[in-house]
Amino acid sequence: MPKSLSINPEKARKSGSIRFRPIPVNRYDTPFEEEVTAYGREALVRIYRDMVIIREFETMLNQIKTAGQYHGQEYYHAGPAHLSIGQEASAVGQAYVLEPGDYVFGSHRSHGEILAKGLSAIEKLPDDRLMEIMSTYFGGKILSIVEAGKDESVKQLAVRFLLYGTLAEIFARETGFNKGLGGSMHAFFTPFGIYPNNAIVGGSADISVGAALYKKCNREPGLVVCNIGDGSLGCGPVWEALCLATMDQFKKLWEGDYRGGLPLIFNFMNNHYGMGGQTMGETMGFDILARIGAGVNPEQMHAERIDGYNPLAVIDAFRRKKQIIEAREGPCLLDTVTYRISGHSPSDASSYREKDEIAAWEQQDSIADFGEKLAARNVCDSQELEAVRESVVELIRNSMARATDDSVSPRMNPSADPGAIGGVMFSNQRIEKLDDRACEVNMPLEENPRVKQIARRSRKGVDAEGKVLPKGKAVQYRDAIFEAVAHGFYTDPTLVAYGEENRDWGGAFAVYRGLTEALPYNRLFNSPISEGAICGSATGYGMCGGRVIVELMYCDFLGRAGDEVFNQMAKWQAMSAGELRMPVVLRVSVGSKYGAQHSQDWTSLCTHIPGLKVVFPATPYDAKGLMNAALVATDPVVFFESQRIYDIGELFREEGVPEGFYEIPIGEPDVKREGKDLTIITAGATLYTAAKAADILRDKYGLEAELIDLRSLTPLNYEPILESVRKTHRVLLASDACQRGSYLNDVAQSISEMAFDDLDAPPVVVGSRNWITPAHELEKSFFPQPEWIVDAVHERILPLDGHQTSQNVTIEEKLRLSRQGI
Amino acid sequence: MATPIAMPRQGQSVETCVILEWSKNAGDSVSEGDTLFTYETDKASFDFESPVSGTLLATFFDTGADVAVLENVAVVGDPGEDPEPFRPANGVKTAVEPVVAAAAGHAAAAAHRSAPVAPVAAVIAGTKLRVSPLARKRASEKGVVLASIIGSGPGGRIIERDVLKAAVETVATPAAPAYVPVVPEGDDVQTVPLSTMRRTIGDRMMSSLAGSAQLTLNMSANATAMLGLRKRIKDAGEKLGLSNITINDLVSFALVKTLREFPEFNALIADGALQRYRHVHLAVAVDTPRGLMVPVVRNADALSLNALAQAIKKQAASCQEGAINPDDLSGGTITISNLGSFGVESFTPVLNAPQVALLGVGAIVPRPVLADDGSYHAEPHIGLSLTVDHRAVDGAPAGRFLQALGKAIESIDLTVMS
Repeated sequence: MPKSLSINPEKARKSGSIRFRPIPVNRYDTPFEEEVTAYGREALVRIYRDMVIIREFETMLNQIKTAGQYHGQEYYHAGPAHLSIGQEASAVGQAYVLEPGDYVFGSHRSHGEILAKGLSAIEKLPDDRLMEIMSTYFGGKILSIVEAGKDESVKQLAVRFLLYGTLAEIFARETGFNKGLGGSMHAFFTPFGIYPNNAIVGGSADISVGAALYKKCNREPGLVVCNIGDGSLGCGPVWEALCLATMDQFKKLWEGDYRGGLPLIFNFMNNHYGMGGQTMGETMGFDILARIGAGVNPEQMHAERIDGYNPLAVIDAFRRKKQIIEAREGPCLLDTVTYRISGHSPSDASSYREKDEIAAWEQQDSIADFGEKLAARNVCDSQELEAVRESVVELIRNSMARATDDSVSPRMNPSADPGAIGGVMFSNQRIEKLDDRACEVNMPLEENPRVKQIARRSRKGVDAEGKVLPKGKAVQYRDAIFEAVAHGFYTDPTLVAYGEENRDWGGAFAVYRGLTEALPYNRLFNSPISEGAICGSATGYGMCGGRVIVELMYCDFLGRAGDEVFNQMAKWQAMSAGELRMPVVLRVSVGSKYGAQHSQDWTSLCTHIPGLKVVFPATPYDAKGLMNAALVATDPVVFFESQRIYDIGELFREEGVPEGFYEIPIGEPDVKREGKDLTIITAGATLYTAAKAADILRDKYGLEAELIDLRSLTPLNYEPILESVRKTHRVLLASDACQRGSYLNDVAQSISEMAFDDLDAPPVVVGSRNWITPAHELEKSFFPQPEWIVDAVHERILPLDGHQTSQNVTIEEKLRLSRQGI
Repeated sequence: MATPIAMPRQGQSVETCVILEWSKNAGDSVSEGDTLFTYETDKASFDFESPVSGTLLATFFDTGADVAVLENVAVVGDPGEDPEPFRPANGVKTAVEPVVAAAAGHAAAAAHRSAPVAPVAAVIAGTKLRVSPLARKRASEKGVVLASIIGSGPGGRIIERDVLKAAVETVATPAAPAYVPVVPEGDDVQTVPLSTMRRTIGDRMMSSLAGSAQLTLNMSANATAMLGLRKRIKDAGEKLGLSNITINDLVSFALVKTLREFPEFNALIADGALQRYRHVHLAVAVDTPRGLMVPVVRNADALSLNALAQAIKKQAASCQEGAINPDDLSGGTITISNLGSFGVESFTPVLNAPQVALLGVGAIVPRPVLADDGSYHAEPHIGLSLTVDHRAVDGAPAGRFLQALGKAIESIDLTVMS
């Protein structure tokens, strides 16, 4: 919404038409003779060898899955194997062009891309660098298993290293590239530029955008290739990724040498099937996939269809696209035509295609065809090709023998080492800045208008007499978050923030007001309304080594980013066995007043997912301290905020909000008010409701309630909670989350387990109704009210003398509602 | 060369596949690529194409067979070759057998699963009491008997404050003058902490005395008939199958029978109401190494003399052994306590609150009786001390009850027949 771009009604309303340029389809036609001269024998034979390696690798897996053996070696593999037999030329051609520092992301069917990229990196990296990578990865563990052979070159050794590491990973061995925690559909090896492959269809699309953003925002050389299938174009997040990647602002608004398109190629490996659904003619309507590019931006994403059955056609296309990327005209879209001879998986009966169809593609088999061309042009004779194939079989047999030998390639043993998997769920590091370069900012922080405004406010929320200050007079919750975020931007040069209305507007709730003046576009920008891509790209940015804050304007939009938050952001640290870090802060604003789709507290969804840290501060002091902690952490932190309290001052901490930097450790609840008769535990803004309830209990019934604010939901230190419960013997938990499935039920159950003999009543949870959130005017019947808390104390914990409940909170009513599902 | 045909492994977790149909029969000639049979996994069905040409020499499974993957199902080769070496080791002859075997195995497993399971937990004594975990802990710390407390928590649950209140009430007995202990010199004094049981007895006695208006009436009754009956039973008891009947058993029996006419003494007093019981649940004071225990014989009014005697013996023995069911230590409606064996003639028993009455039984002593002719003779008399709660009954009715009891004892021969 920048003011510099005016929306002109004359232009907007003017009559005209859109002109599209022709999209090239399989235009490669260089005669093979010319290519022989251009490439030379060695390169062409290597292309052949790499394709044969992939074919044999996948054939080996197919044999194991269907016959239980490969060349007489028996093995049973229970896990998945989505094979890419037939797609080798597409993978090898692409990798041939890529440099080791270019990144590839893939899909569930990416064994071939992994091997091709690895083989390419091995070819291009100097030997000493290869040795350094191999001897330091997992302390040289994999290298020691592969063992250098006599008279073997470093590159030959590295090829065996690659094959073994990948295969051991597929077989879930602790000696695999990701200690067996990734597996067939997720294997990767970043030192060779092989980034995570993704078992969620299209999952790599927005992650790749984030990786390209990382390269762009941090001036890292190279480009990113997103290898996803034709079927993934039906996935919303893939479209979101295309939108985020092609934002006009890259070319129109970003400043200096940051101006220009993203270094990214969306490469659709078009094997014509999304599992069994035929994208062309049945499940999609694009006819030719490359057509999609024309709908995205004026450059039509430089889209074209290329012949993925000819490695040289693929190389030609990638070379041309790379030039476009280098000219800052990206991103590009490729529709790489290929065909999967093998089934989707070994249980695929190929009921959706005719044998004739498979046979026709087999007749044009890319490896056989390429071999014939080599022989026909006398690049090498058929005996030499046979020798290549034989040596590859030996390589694969050798790798399989080692990878299936339990004594050489053991699996993780969680029963012997119970912390093995738990220990990699989080990286738990504290790093203030992820790069040492200077932070790019537009002005010294103290000159920032927002900073000056805040300086005029009291750091405390109350005056000397304890009276609550007017809203404009105190440092507010939103100011406190701003201070932490601003500090982050002036500390970590890799930090970027984006989301909807982040720039200019300053965030829908004015948390970022002042940051637009402080930061260039490449550090703070607006995104399309693409919650999935916002969160997915942050995942990519984080895993590549940068720190990022992204935002969901309303918690209710979390559903739009479900896969990105729950499957991607949460999982990659553990699936990498600790090789990747995820310094990502996801700000999520919990609404109110805006009805059923804008007023829900969904913290419980996030606490349910392993791999996320979840915090929900309720005071300015906690908000700043926790944001500071999140911004020096290396783990994904879902940072919930409440729109009820953006303007509230610090009411609980006497000294108010400190001006300087301080951290509140993630995971520590806080006693907000001491008491001896009852503990009330809250999460989020319900703290203030509970405080009112505590006042009633004190003034009318003489009970002193202790107020504990969880602050962090995951992780959570129960000690202070148990200490309180052992003192008060009674505990009530309250939050604005709907009662059923609320995380507080989890906390209540844990308290019951850990302090049973100290309890005078069962822990009681008070949450919102299991309804839609009604209109603001009706919210008091939906969100917990102070009286509800008093009623629950009276009915479930400690009957209060003379108390009349404001509502029916009997067990009978609870049973009735439960029967009705409300 | 004969080629064995094995059931392929299809998919990640497939252990067996079912043969749906044979497309070729043994003896048929087959070409490479011909479909030999179709089979299915739980996910899909597949055609199996012959990898070689030749003659289908043998099939080892029929349609419908569930075959382990990688198991040989057929052999293709030249006519005359022997397929037998490839027959699976489990020697499957027909398809029916294994299917039946599997089904039988399944049924057996199902039967095993449905075998009756013994109840895991017996009903726990006192489960009707609803007590918070903390209240239970506090009660144990303070020696408060939960059964005597009425809960004030949700649904009548006994919560901490109820126990604390009960503990305070127990302690707040009429204030005795401050006792200043004489400081003992040397090791003149040995401090023995009170056992939990001792404290419980103490609390109950204090609570009983503090919470009721007790008075004790004393009299004696002629025990001649009782002694005579007892001697006859003793002499003939074994022959008649009677157990050893004691004087206490006979008095207990007389008490139970007398209560039929005086139901207000077979009662509890609590919360301003008298709860009369239709049946007599007789509490019997028993001296045990750990202290006084009072087990209850339920429905004593329904028992014959012999049965009552046996029940009292059993409960007393259980107390002595410490094996008494805690359930049997509560629920009494009247108590009998006997100190006669120590020569005690009369005493002032403390009520077993909230019971209304307690009968103390004394020793049998000879007593001079003035005959009509002015002479004296001695009669054996047994001492009876009845403590009642004056809140529930007055002295006169108590006297009438005691008098009736005395008559029942003096005419015990008739009483046992009633």
